[in-house]
This record gives sequence, structure tokens and C-alpha cells, in this order.
Amino acid sequence: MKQRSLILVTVDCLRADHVGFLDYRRPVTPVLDSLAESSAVFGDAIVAGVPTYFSFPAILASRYPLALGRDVLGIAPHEPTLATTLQNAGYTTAAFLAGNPYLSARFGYNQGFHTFRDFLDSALGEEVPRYQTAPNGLSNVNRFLQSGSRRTSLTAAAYDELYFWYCQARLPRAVSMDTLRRYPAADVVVDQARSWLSGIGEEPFFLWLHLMDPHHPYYPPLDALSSLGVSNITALRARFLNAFWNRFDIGAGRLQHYREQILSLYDAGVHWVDKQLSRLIAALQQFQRWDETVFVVTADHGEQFLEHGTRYHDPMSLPEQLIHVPLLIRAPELPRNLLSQHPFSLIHLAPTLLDALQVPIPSNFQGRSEWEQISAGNLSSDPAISECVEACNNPMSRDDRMRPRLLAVRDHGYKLVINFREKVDYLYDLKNDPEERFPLSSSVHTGERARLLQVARAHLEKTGHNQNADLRLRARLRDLQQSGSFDVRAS
Amino acid sequence: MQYRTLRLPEDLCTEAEKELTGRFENLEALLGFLLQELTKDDASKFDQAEEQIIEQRLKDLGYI
Repeated sequence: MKQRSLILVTVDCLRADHVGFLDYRRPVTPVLDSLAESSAVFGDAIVAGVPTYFSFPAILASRYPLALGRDVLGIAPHEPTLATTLQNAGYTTAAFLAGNPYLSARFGYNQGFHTFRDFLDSALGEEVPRYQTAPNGLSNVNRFLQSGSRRTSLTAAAYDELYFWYCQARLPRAVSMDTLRRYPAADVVVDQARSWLSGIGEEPFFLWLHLMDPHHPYYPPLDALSSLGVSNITALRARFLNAFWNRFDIGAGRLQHYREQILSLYDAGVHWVDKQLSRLIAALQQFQRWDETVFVVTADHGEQFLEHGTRYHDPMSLPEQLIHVPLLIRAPELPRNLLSQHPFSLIHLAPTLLDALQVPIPSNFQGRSEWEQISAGNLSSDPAISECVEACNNPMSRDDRMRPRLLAVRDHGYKLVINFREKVDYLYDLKNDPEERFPLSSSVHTGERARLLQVARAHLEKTGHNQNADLRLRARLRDLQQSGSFDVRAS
Repeated sequence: MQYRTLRLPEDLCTEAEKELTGRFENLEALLGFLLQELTKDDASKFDQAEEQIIEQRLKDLGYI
């Protein structure tokens, strides 16, 4: 039998409930839906962390995000990953990542790849400031008006409102989705992947694509919008919608007014990814590599659209909209299966895929292979754990990283979220309250609460006390070097 | 404060001094800075405090 190859497609911000094969009402993913007909589909795939910088250590290195200490980011130098393991096993490896700075060589994500393209050098997208700077004279007037307006909340709100509309009026009218977009679209990334595939010959390969189309600001190609039947959103309108959606001076009530249109933009991004994946699959078929390839599609986290009053994917909480992602594995001889009886943590993804390729699994991986269980259509019943540092919105700042953790223990029926800053835990009955609106009182379901607390305790023991000191040291040294500490005269 | 004498290869010291000229007063300052940074482990304090919070919660519920 020919040695299997692997393609891992990770889509930034893709929620589980926005793909057709997990019952989304809008036809955004016809290609993936069709692929799902011959794949293992996971109804309850759960990320190990939110957002990207807390999610990917688990996806690529099967390691919980805070297991080397919360002051360490990314993959540690010489840390075994899916890529390094496959490279050592003789695979040709490549990564094409659509411009996410947290998935760069700076954080060790280039390790194990013969070809690594992160698109961070591309001059894509014109950054449109949220509030356009006015010419000097007007700036002074603005500053005066702004400081004066802060005397009462009413005048402050009036100033913010006027200033928003003033800025919108001053922006140039001639724009296109392509110039507004901040990341390379999926077609650009897939083009590079196709070109790479055409040159590798017969050898087994590992290809990782990270696509950013559903990430905000939401600027999908107009083709994708019209293909979904959305004809009333132009580039100009999309710029306004993104600017309004990004306002933090108004309440959720006013934002709600634009939610459906924002969802259309987001869905069109997902649709564009779906469309481009068909080109990738066509290339594999053309090069006669499709039959032997294990093809995986998943996401690093989801996205919020005011379900709990907030937007985007900041690590302020761990709701289902952020931790529940799609996962589809298509592999030769793997039967079609819908695996939804238990959650599947993405901590198990890398060892499972290595097992599928019959490549030995590194001993330091914290997850385990579920390949046999997936093949048999019956996942293990362990709860999944998802964690992050609360409010760590700028992971480059040490102060942001050195904060209490948020941790979710996700069972099929129950979910426990522990907020360590508040020293409070919230238990949800997901069967009766799938939207997590009503945390259960402490006096009921205490057995379930205690069971999930025990899982959380075991997780902290495993990932705190048994940290890999060598990897931690290497990562700390790299951070010191890259933070510029060595360029400061120590006295 | 007590001090300790370390033995390092001469070549390595010369190379490091050349590389770090102007950044640190001398090799001792560099090594002192490095060791101080690398032994700093505020992260584990958070881990320990968080474990205690869970233990306390389990005690409150009567499961420990």
C-alpha cells in the first residue's frame, strides 16, 4: 500500500454551527457537505484553547496551551509536533498560512516545514483606521470638542456618535473588497498550495493550510456574497458594516440591528473557503494523490455574534460559539461516520492523525490516538478541556499573559466553566440549555459538578506540576532574545 | 552576598563578549541577567493558586 499523505486545513474563526454538514440552514459549504458524505464527521469537536495563540499548541503539538507556563507562547524550540514528526519520518512538508502573526516563525510554527509561507510579508489590504485622522486644524478642534464632551455621559455619547459618522463621511468612496481585505483570501493560499503540490512528485507529504477568510474585518469576495444570494452589500457597505460592528461606544442593542448583514459577510468568507477547497481537491485528483491522502478540516476557534452580548473571539469567556468547531476527517478506508456521542478534544488530533499515517507518536504528546475508536465509530467518553488566560487580548504583553485562567470542562451533556479570577464555577446542562443562558444552582447536580471539578483538578496537576522544564527553558530563551531584552544594557 | 566562581571555556567567553559588546557591562552581567530571567517563574504561582481554588470548591461540595 502506498504511504499515506496528510492535508490539514484549519480555518480561523469557523464555528461548528455555520457548516452545512453540522446542520447550518444556509448552503455555505456544499463542497465540505459533499465530502462529509464519505468522511468521519465530529459533532462535538472542542478546541483546547481560545483564541489562535491558545489553540494551536494543541492542534500541532498535542500540548495544552498553558502547560509550559502561561508566560510562554507558541511552540517551543525543538518541541515535537505533527510537522517535525512527519518530516523526521521522511515526509515532504509545507505550510501556507494566510497572514496570522501568531502562526509565524516568531512563535516556532515554522519548525518541521521544508516550505513555510506565512504571507506576513505581503502588502495586502489597506488598513482603514477606525476613526480617520483629520487634517491638523480639525484635529485640534476635535481634541477640544472631545475633551469638552467628556463632562457628561450624554455629551460624550453625542460626540462619539457624531465623530463616527464624520469619519465615515471622510473615507474615500472608491474601494473594493480586495483592497479592504486584511488577509490573503483562500484562493491566493490555495494557488500556492496547488503550485507546491505540482512539484513534489511521488513522495508522501504533509501540507498545512490556515485560511483567514471568516476572520474580521469581514471582507469576502463579492463573488462569494452573490453566490449566497446576497446582492445588497457592496464594498462600501461592507466597510461601513465592519466599522459599525467594531464600535465599543454603543450597546449590543444598536449593534444587533446590523447582525444579519455581518453574518452574511462572515458566511460568505466561509463559502469562499469551501469553494477554494474544491480547487485543492481537484489538484490532488489531477496529480493522482487524492486516493492516498488523509484530508482534515477543522478550526482553531469560533466567533461570537452577540449571542452573549459580545463580538469576535476575545478570551473573555468560553461559550460554545468559541470552543465548538467543525472537524471532518476523510481517509482511505475510513467509513462514513457521524461521531457525536462524546466530545472530541483537538488535543487528540495530532496523535490520531499520526496513527492514521502509521507514524510513531512522540511520547510527550498530551493527547492520545483515537484512530481505532474513530474507525469503529465509537469515541472515548472523556470530557474535553478548553482553557485560556482571561482577557489576554494582547499576548505580546507579559502583563496580559500573567492573569488568571478560564477553564471549561465539556462533557456531552454538561459543561463546567471555572473563572479563577472570580473563584466561581458555572455548570450548564447543555441538553436543556444549549445556549448556556441559565447556569445551574450550586445546590443541584452537585455530583456532576464535582465530577467535572475532579477532571479540572487532574488537568491542572498534569499540566502544571509536570511541565516540561527543558522545553519551557528553550521557549523562555527564545522569548528573551526576541523581546529585545538583550539589546538593553543591563546595569 | 556570597559569590561563586564558574568555569567556562575561554573560546566561548571571548565569542560571547564579542557578540554582546555594548549591550552588557561584561559577561557576568549577561549571565546574571539570563539566570535571573530564566529562574523567574511567576506562572507556577498562578497554577498553584488555581489548584487550591478547585480543591476548596470540592471541599465545599463535600467531595474531599
